[in-house]
Amino acid sequence: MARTRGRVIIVLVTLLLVVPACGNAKQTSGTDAAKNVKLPTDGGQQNRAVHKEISGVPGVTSTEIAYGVVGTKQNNPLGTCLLDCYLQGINAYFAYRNSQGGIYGRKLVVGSVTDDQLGNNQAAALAITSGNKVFGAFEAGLLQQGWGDLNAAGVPTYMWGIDGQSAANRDALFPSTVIGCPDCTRRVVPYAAQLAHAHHAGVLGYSTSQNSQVCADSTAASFKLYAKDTGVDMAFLKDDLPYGLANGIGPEITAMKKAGVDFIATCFDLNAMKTLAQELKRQGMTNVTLYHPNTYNQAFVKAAGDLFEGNYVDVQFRPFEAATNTALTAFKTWMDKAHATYTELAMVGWINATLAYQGLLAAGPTFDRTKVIAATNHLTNFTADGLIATVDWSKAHTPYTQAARGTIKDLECGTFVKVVNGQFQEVGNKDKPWLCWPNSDLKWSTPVPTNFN
Amino acid sequence: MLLGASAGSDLLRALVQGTPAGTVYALLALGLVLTYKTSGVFNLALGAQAYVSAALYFQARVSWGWPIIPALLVSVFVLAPALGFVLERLVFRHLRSASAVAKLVVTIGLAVALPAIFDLALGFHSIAGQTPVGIIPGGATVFYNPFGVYALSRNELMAVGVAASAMAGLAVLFRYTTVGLHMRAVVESPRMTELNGIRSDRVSSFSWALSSLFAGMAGVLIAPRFNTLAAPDFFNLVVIAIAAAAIGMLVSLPRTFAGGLGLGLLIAVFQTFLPRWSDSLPWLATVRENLTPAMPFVVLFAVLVLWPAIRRSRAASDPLAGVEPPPPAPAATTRSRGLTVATRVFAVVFFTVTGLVVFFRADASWMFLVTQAVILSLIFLSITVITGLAGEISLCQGTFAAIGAFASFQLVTHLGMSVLLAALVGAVIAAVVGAVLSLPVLRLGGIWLSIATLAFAYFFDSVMVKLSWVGGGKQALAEGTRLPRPLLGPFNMNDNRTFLGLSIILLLIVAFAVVRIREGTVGQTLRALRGSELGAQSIGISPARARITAFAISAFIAGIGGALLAIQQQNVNYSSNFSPFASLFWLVLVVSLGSRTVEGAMQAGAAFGLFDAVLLKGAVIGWLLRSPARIPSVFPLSGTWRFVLFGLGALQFARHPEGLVENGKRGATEAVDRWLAARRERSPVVERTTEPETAA
Repeated sequence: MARTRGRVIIVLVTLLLVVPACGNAKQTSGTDAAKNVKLPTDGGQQNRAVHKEISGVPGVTSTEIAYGVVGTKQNNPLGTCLLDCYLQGINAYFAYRNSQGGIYGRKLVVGSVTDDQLGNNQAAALAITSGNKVFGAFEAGLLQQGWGDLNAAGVPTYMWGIDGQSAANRDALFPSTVIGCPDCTRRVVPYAAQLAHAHHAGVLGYSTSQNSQVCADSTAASFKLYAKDTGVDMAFLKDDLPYGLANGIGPEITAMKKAGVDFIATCFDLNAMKTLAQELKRQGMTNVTLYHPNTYNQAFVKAAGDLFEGNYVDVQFRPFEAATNTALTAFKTWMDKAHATYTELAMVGWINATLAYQGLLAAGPTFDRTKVIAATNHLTNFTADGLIATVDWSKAHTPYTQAARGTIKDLECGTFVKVVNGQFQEVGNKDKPWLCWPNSDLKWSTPVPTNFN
Repeated sequence: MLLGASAGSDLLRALVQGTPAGTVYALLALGLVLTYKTSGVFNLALGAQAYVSAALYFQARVSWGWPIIPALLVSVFVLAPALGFVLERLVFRHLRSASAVAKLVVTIGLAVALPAIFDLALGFHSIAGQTPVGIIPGGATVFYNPFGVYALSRNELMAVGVAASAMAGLAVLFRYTTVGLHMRAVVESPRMTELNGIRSDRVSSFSWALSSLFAGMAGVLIAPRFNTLAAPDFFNLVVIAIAAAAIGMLVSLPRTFAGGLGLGLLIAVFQTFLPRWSDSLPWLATVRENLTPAMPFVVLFAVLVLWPAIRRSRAASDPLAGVEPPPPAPAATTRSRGLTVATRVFAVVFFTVTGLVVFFRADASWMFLVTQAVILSLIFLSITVITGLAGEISLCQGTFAAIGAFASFQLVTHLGMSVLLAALVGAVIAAVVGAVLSLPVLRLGGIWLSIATLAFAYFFDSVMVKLSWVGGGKQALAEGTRLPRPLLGPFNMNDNRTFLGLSIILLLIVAFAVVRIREGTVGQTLRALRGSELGAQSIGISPARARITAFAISAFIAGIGGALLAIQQQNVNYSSNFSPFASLFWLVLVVSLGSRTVEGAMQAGAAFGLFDAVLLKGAVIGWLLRSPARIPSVFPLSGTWRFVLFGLGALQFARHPEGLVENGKRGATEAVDRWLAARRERSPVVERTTEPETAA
């Protein structure tokens, strides 16, 4: 008994000694230096060919600037082309720039490619930070555990922007799509419903993915907010469906049928959209228009026959079907040269590579990682040469709320295409594919067709 | 009146809509019950068997362009029974008198390995949009609307028909045929059946071929429900089908069929009416949001915990099973003193050298992997406690680890607590949850306890994680579930080496505690209970108290390990670290290598954390050749090999329930002792010095 009491006392004394000494370490970040770096004055297109010797910069030799690419190939539950397609886009952009002499007398090259096999993203990221053989990283993993390490190590990292949370407040991370406010309302979906002459909207999302659930809730909130303006009311919301819809979606479609739903926006993957469309067909609701968030995949849509006919498909960049601009022409040209298919992930890779290049340009010929991060975060008007809506990288890392959205972004823009005869077609103005609203207030207005060339 | 008619029509529609899903559950549940009735194996690999047939059928039809009949013949009527036959001959024949829990572990290994072997052999992988096809022309496009409320496809009607026919056929087989009687007898006791002149091995082979045929047919019929064909979908469906099988108590085919169908109907009815009712009753909205996705797991848990018949039932056991020899004593207790000293010296030298190499030579990537292996070893010690000591199989250790991680995240984020203190509190919360969970499930025992813990893991996964006070909700969506590294006096744990040091210290503390528990009163009590529960009770031991203690300690260890893992990764990373499937993977790895010893847990941690990097990526060859550049181009090997080897490891559990490591140690000890004895015989001057030790 006395022995036990003695042990308890030892444990308590140890705890009393240790607990006050415990605290939380401040997260060190390789980007802290970037915040204080003096911006270069010798950056820009005019100095693109200036070659200066640089030493001690990882992945940079006198002839090359090497990047590491990490993405998911094996164990991808979606069955979509991720890493390979992403890599095609990066390689195409590098080939395009290298054909012009590269940058600062060096070629842009992919130094390493790693399949994170879905669950090994952090180990793959750490291999990049510790290997010190590449200058920057490109990331197209489905689970992004390694982003924090890349940021902490101050590695400029360009990524597929499917998961806004992981890039928040991390200055070295540059996602292709910035989602600073996942639960903010968006006008583009109600506008699509208005275009479809719909009256009653339904919204569906997964409960197994919080991204999907919040996306569904914010879409529903958008319909409610603009119901009077668009004439489309919010008639049905279900944001707790199991991933993959293995139980089918019959009761939900029946409920929507009863509610008179004629437009459905979802936050599903492309496979679930097929299940949804099949169930609509079964229940005779072929006149319902769907708004797809993740189905910009021509082969997939074509293989589905007439299932998606008349549907709208959200696109995160200047659609391939829009009138070509310089950047889109270059993309198609260099993808064709590589005998590669135009895919969403290839375009994401191209856009990421564009930012990597422009960051280098802005950092000047004596660049290093810190300078590139700092210079990139001073790009206030990045559009990937007109492929995406303007991103102000000086604000893009900061999460914001619905109330503060006007202070972060000037415009709220979106673009989508329509499925006609199994092919995607641009909706509206082909030269100005973006539909934009002022972000200064939440009032409804007619969207302004916009071009970000 | 009109409202009543409308509700009636809605109800009918819901019932029709729920029928196809219910049929899927019933089909798989029938397969589970069939396997259990005919082999005594609760076959969690059923989904994998179904997947293999479905994938081959899909490959044959879509990729190779075969017509329906040959594709069906090869995938269902040849491959499926052959697979069942092979599994019985190579694996389950050796497990006939093993405990139901041991069989369960082997099936979990097969559930992982079979799809991986198939995918590697045929180069199969799922492609978005390539929808599996049914076994009848126009299966997905031709519809019938028998009640005028909802149309069913040909594929669905075919599945309903086959399920009903199968149920009837199986009932007839078991009740009215000699083969059926023999099959049931072999399950009860293969030895007693043999004494009556029946070739139990042949009956068993037939049973397995039949049940595998059934699984294959179920797989092909179910596949068109998925838009892409992937093994995890089949496993998830099996977990749901377990609820239906539980309703049939794993023996009654009609009740199982009714259970599966009922589950499908219940979900459809809830999906139809709950949203409507929640319009007028707001509190129902919360119930609807959380209950609907978790319905099968809630039903399963409720059936297990609340249905007295299940609590009373015990897995059928062979009366002659007691003649099986008990597992051999740990090698450490039988080897000679000299060998023990040599082993310990070698261990000290090995770990010192390895530690020095890691601390002074490893880069951040290796440091991460080694630290992860250390932390996983700590988590795996929770399995040493609950399985190695208490003899219970918990399939929710990942959930306990997640509770520790999420609790730490919440305490740090909202209260600004020190992360180490938060980890400790998180572990206490996990222990409390473990103790509370054990109250209802411990009465079940054996396989039912395992299934109840699996249901809890899936419930946590589908409901709890989404709650803002657990998984962080919208705030976590915006900024992730991030955790800082600790600051301990002058030691800043942002430095990976320092954090590895802390992890090693914590592992040693927990390992020491586990050894003390094993040698102390709790360990002795649990050992007594494993030997004879009645005997233990007769000397005043309370089984409930002992097992609740074991559950709580195990959950505490898992909780602190989970928190530590989250701190290491600076994010909870629930999906990749703590999913229910992770729990299954962990369990099989630990019991395969050795769940009774601390070394087993540590070796499992090392295997889990380092296998990919060291072997599959060829690092070990790079070390041997003294240059990573010399690693042959065949590396890195596909990560799928990990699953194959994992499954093969689980199969070894059938032959060596003490664990591969323990088995290897014993083999090595015996070999060395033989060599020493031979040396002594040759040299008469040497005196005998190999007195066996009495303590480890």
